[in-house]
Amino acid sequence: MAIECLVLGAGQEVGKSCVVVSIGGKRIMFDCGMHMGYLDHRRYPDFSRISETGDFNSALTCIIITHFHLDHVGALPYFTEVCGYQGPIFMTYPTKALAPLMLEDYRKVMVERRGEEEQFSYDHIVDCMKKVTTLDLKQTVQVDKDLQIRAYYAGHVLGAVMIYAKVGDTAMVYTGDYNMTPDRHLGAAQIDRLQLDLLITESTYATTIRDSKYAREREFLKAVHKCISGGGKVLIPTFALGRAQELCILLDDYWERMNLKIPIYFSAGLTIQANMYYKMFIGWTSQKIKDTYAIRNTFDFKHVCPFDRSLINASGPCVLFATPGMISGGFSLEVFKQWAPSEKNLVTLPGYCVAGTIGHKLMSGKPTRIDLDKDTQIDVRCQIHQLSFSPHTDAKGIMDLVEFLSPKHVILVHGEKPKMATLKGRIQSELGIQCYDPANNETVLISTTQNVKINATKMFMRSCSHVDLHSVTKSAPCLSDFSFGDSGASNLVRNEKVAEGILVMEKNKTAKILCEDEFLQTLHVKEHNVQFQYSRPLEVCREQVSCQSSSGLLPSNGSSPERW
Amino acid sequence: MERLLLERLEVHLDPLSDERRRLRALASARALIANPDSSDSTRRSTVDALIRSLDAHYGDPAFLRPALKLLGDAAVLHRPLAPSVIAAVRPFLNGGKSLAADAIAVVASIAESSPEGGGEGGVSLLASVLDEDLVLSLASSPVSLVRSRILNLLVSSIGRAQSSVSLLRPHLMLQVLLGLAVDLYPLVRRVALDGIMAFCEVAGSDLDGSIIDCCYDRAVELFRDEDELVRSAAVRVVSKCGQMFAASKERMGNMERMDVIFVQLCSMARDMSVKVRIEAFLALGKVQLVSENVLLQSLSKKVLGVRSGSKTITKWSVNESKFSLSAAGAFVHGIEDEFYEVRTIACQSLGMLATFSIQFADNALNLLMDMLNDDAEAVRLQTLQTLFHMATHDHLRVQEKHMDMFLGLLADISALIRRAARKVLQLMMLPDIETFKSAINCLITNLETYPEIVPSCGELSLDSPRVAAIVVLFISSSISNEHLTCNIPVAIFSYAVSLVGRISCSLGNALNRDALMAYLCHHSEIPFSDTTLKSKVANEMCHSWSLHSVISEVKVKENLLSMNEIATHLKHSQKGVEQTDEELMQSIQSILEKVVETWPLIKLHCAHEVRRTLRTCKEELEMIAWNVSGSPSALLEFALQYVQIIQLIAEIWEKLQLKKSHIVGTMTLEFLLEKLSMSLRRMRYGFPGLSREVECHIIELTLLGFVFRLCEVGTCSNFVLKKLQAITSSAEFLCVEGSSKLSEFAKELLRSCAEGGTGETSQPFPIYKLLELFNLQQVAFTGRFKCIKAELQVFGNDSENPLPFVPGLPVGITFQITVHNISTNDRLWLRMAVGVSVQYVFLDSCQFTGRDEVRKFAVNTPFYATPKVPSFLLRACMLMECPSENVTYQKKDQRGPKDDIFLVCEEIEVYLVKIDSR
Repeated sequence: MAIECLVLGAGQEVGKSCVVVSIGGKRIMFDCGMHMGYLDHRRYPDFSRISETGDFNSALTCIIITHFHLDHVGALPYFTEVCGYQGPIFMTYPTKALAPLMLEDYRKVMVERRGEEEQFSYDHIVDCMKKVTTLDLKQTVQVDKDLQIRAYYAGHVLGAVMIYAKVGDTAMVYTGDYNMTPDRHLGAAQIDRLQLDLLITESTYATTIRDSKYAREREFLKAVHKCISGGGKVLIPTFALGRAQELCILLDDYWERMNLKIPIYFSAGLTIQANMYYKMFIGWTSQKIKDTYAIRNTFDFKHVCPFDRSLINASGPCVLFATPGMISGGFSLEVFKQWAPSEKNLVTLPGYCVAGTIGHKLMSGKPTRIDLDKDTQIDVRCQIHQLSFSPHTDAKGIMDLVEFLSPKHVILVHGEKPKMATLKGRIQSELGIQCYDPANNETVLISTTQNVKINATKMFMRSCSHVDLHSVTKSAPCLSDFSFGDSGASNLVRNEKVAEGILVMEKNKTAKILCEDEFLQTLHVKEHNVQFQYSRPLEVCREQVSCQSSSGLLPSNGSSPERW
Repeated sequence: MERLLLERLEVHLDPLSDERRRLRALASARALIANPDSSDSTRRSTVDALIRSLDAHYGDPAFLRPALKLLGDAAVLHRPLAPSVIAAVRPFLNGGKSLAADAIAVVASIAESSPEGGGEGGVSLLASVLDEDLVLSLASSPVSLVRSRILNLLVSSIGRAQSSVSLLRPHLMLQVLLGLAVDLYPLVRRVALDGIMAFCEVAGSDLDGSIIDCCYDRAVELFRDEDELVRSAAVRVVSKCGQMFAASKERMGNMERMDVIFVQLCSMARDMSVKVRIEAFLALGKVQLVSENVLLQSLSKKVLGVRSGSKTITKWSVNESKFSLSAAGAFVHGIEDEFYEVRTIACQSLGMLATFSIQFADNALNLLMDMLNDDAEAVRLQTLQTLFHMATHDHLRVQEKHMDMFLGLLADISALIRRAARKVLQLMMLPDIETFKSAINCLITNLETYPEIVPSCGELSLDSPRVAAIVVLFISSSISNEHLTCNIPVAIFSYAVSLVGRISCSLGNALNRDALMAYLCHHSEIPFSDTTLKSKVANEMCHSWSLHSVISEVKVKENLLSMNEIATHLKHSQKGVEQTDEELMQSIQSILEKVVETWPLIKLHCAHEVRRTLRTCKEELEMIAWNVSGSPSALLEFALQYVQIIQLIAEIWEKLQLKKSHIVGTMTLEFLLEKLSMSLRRMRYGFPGLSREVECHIIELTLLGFVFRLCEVGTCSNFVLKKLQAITSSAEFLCVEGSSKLSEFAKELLRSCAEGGTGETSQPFPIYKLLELFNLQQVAFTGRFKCIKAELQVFGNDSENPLPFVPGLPVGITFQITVHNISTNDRLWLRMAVGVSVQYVFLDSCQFTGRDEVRKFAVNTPFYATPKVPSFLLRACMLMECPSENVTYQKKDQRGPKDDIFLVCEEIEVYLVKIDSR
């Protein structure tokens, strides 16, 4: 059986993750994302490659969404409502809850702000979500007779999972985005040791090896603390989901420990709603939060209060979380305009900003002046701190996972081409695993080994399951103290188990292995003893009787009468 | 009833009866056995019946299993039944069928409950039932339950195999364990691994290297096991083997192997199971003899450069890059783990390994300092403990970048954390003076935010800056270890010097005070070489005075006391305590000398410098007073008085100089003079047993006081003159008796007095000439003198709990009085004052009970002149009349002491409140 893997998106790039895998006649689409960098047809995966005719329902067995980020779920309403896919869709509970928020937010930005023609409507999103079947962690779902899927915790964002899919004997894992190191609000990715033919893994940080997260946290806290103790205001532009909660937990905890009284504000809107979901899905968060939520839900932040616009110019230090993260507009831009001119204030930037946003301008060298448009200019005198929190695993984490799972083949997606090539080389040389990094719309064909199943009888299993210690006893020298000598010691370890059995092909063509003792019984034959006698003429001579009688009997039958 | 049941039992146990009946029979048999009122014979017959029924039901497990269980219980409940039960059960052990499992359980439970408490008796009992062949056949039984039960039995017998009796010979035991460690069933595997572990522990160092090899190999195989409990058991075994390798004779040959073990454990530290990770980090902490580069690799996620010992690794057929890869960053992952248990243990292990290598300790410190920001308190606490551990092993080299995080912890909300952080700070060696300063600043602010007693400083309840001062010493001492002394302002050392008494006391005399002082002086002396000292002007003196005096004192000892002795102070401490008195005298002496040395400065009107110097002197004395009780306190008291007198003299001197130009502040001067004479009286009469020399000295000072008074008034009144004459004559008398001579000043004064006395012409005194003549001389303030003093108390009275009174009526107040060294001739008075109204009460010495130096008694005195106010404050103190001052100035209408008086105790305040306004 072979696996055919068609990469529709995120091949040698980051964005519009979409991989269609065919195993044993089943076709599974992993993720259905959109590319945020394009506004033309390239924004969606090229669905036509799945089915020429456009009959997706027969072409695909199911769609599985790993998490709610738009580059993993963004094209789903389009695909289901516009392209007309009606088959099963799987995602986890948090993803199902948060994905509509994301999609609707995106749709609004697209349609209302940029005035684009809408690709899908609000109703589309609602209808699409109605088709979703929810998954839970480590729950095995039998999609149809042959296909089994199972979700494993992936870290990354709330509700992110890695997907294990199995058809017959062929098994594979699609990781989606994952994080091997835990952060404050999410745990580390966790998976069983599985027998895999294929692992499709993200490779965002294919070559980066990150230091301890503590260092990053320390830098951040230091910068914030320094700013507020100097009486400044801290603006933290973040996306509403994920990083905002992470940083908020970090600050809330720090405030608590250091007994700080300076207010932390959360700008209203999406974030408040998101926080509600975070409070609900405690089971998907980190161990610490799970352990303590009965006493206090970590997302009930002690020091955080909602922000009011009138507070923008209030005196005194404060910390404010505002959306969007890249200061591309909205509330964070509004506040930025007010706060940027004071050198006491601090603006933190997310790890990645799209070119053209203010965030990007601030990142690339520290400008003193930013032209917002023809008329407005902003003097930037405030301090800038760049955050380097990332929910993606680093190169070491990828290697660890690949080594842990030790699949037969690895496909890298969701990364930058040159870096992926380096990682590919490492996986092949260091781990000796065949690795591919296909570009978009390429197909990788992977041959899998054919396993032949044979049945074994209970007795055979039992005979395998224990060691015959008597044999060892006999061979080992009997010494009363601990010094065995070389042969004795090596004897102890060398008791490799050799199971002996008889392989039988029955009429129904399935092979069966059984014990020697059972063999006859299985064949419904009675045991016949054939006895051989060795006889030769001899001259009876009274003196020689004793020596001849002992000379020539077969060892198999001790009971037979002897003839003279 | 019993018999009836027994008969019915016999009938029902018959194999021909139906199944339900048989089981009911078993139930009634159980009741018969368990009932405490059953007779022994009934029990025995019940058991016999059961045993008979076993044979009858051979091949019927549905009956045999509960029957066996029942027999086992019976034997446990009634020991005498055990032999027959065992005999009955014995045949079931053969054959290794599933019933054997039940039979083993019976035997095991009997052995467990043997009278010897499951000890050797249990084992010998087992050994009598199970011979080697039988055990082996059971261990290789195809039934997993039998295997696991016999294994449990074996493993539990290992622990108590101190005796010669054992179930299996060691090598056979090991074979069974190793064999079963690869069993199909995880439960069996785990128990077998536990057995190997126990086996290794019991055998200890006697175990042959090749055998450890076997155990080790088997355990490493199981690192890839599917079951997490098996994996963690395997990690434990590997850890144990590692320890045994390290302890074995050819330990040097095992070095490379230790590296491999370390790396293998590191790879387990990335296991997906928490339990395994915990075990792995525990094990990592116990590894010894690991080479440094492997250790360092475990701290870095990036694969470090080519290992120097690469050749040796190939010997173990481990791929080089993979070798580094699996070790890479094990601890980084450990301290970032999702579970705080893992983080805690990783942190602990880091500390253990840090003792092996400085480089590792340094790198680990970078990680540890970050962990101080962990969200779990347990982890932060463990981190601090680890830092403490590293500091005690002298492997803590803090850098400036670390300090931020660390100092932040001093302000942690948890007191536990703050305390631990301070504890670490005590032992920390700070890199430079900047860090040091910031540490101190931070410490002081935090101590102000969270005022608390530092428990590590013993029972000292110090206010926060003092606590800081102690820390200063610790830190400065640790810095000086690093030979950075030149960078430390000497002020810090001098500060520490002045605190020496208290510090050594707060350390509970764990540190020899001599050593501490010598050491501090040694360091503070460096920038104060003689040449520099000369060039410095007086304002420097305030920094150096205490040092200087102490240096001069301890210089002799300095050669003998090295830094190392401070570290190994403990043997000295005993001697140190004995010497304290002598030593204390010396230090007080030196302080007094220093006080005398200020005289030239007073004369030069360097008022500011003098004031500062004297103030520090006084502080120092107070500091010493903190820690002392008993005999030296007299000298101490004396010294304090003396310093106060010199302070007053200096003040007056200054005032008089001002007066030269224009007259101001007569009142204050008057006040000062009065205070001075009071203090001098105290000096003179409050210390019986002063040496003549000292007495002369005091008289001279008294004379000076009179000269001042003359100077202030301008002329010489008759009364003052008379007094002066009396005093001078007593001075003369003293000098004639003793060997000492009168000073020029006294002689001149004597002459002037004589002239004034004869002439009556009120010829102006040559005051300024006299003042010029006066010179404060160095006097040895020795001698076994006592100190008259008293303590006054009103129990249970403070501003919150005032005494009630009715305005206009007398109020009774009970004073608790403690007096020291009062003789029966001394006339003591109690003075109570409210505003201007003063009331004296004579205290009859007959009231004082006892004849010891210290006497205590209570006095209930009425205070008459209660004012008509809602509440008032009454000031009370004790006075003593000067016994021999014969020239007295008689005040009229005074019911009080006739002679001059002096205070013998501190004034106390008594709070009173009107009775209805409470």
